Amino acid sequence: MKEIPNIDELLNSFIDGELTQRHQTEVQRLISHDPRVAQRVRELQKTKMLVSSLPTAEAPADMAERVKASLEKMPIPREQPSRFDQRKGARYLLVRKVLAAAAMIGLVAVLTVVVYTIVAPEKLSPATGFKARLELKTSNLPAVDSAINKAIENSGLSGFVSPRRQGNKSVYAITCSRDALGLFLADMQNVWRRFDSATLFVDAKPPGKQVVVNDVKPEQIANLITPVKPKLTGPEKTSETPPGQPEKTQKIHLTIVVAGSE
Amino acid sequence: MTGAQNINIDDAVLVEQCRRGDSAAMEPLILKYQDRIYNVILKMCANPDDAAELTQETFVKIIENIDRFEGRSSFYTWAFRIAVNLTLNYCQRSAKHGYSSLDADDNEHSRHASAQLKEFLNDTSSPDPAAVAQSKELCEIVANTLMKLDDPQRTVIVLRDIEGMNYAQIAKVLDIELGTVKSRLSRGRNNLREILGAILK
Repeated sequence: MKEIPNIDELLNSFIDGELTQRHQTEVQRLISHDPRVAQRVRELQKTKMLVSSLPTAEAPADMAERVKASLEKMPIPREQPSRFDQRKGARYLLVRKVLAAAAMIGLVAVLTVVVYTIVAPEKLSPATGFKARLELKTSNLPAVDSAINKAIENSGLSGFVSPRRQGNKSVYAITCSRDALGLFLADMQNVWRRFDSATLFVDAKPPGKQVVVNDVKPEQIANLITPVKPKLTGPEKTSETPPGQPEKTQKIHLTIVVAGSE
Repeated sequence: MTGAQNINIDDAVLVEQCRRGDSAAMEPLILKYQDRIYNVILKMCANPDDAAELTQETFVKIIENIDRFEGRSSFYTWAFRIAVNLTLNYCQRSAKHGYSSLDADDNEHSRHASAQLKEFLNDTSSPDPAAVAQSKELCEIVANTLMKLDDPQRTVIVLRDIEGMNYAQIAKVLDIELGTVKSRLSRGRNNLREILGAILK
């Protein structure tokens, strides 16, 4: 028996029915030829028998209720997403990220437009603005200067005019609203007869092209700067803009050049 | 064993129902395995109250982790792996096995049982199971002797001789090699016999 390594393991496998048919036959032959092996097998069988003959114990009858109660007492575990849900979640996350990025780009674009509208320098649109040069000739320049300055003052344009003298010429660069210029022109009607000539050069499209109006009258200029407005049935909207302050869409640039006659 | 053992419902169906959140499927699983798991645990820890507690804990763990059961092994070996691991942890933690001293049980019944056991072991005739099972005192001596084995040997013997697992199933439950199962079983049975022989002298 001692010559065979792990003989006990072999015999235990034999009594447990874990040997192949060939090994089982070999062990049976060994048992029949060697009484010591036969005795050892009996000992092992008895030892095994002692354990396997122990009475079977039954679990408490309320085991299922105990388990349920124990599960109910436990905090609700966070749901473990399945692998499918994780993949679905990843796709959903990707879509969300793309949508969020698109929304951010859109928001930035809108904000850019808004900020640009607020802070960008206002451009004079030919359709809404008016840029012209009025050339006047008079034999009594000081009187005309005085009348023009008075008209500027009366129409509240004092802060919007840059007067300068160029030799025998007085230049008044006016940037104001249409209404303010209308008041100014109305005030200028009394002095208009003092002009020997009055020529208006109006900037037109394309840029660089001009329309020339000879012997122009104040009311004609007023008509030119006044756009056709739809007739409103309700009360007229009062402008909250101060008289001289140019309105955003009705800015007028008028340069008046008064030249003294020789 | 019990009527619960005879419930012939495919584990895979019940497990799948549990995975889908069907709490009604838990009960048949518990009823099917509660006695077998409890019996194994009790033979390993020798304390009925702790065995009940550990059985309950086993089923809670099974239900909690049912999603992780991938079906690569059978539900049977997976469930027993949980039960055995919990019990071995318990044994290591508590270091109290709950068995009574054999010397302290020195009354007429135990003396008779000892004599009966000695005769059984020394007799050269073939073993008679009835002779062992009919004596309560004799069973107590054997159960207590079983507790004197170290945990790995006792576990293999319980899974083989109490639960009736084959070697491959034991290897799966304990996550050990087949050769390790054989050697532990061989040494365990040998030690068990030696301890019994020393007690009965």
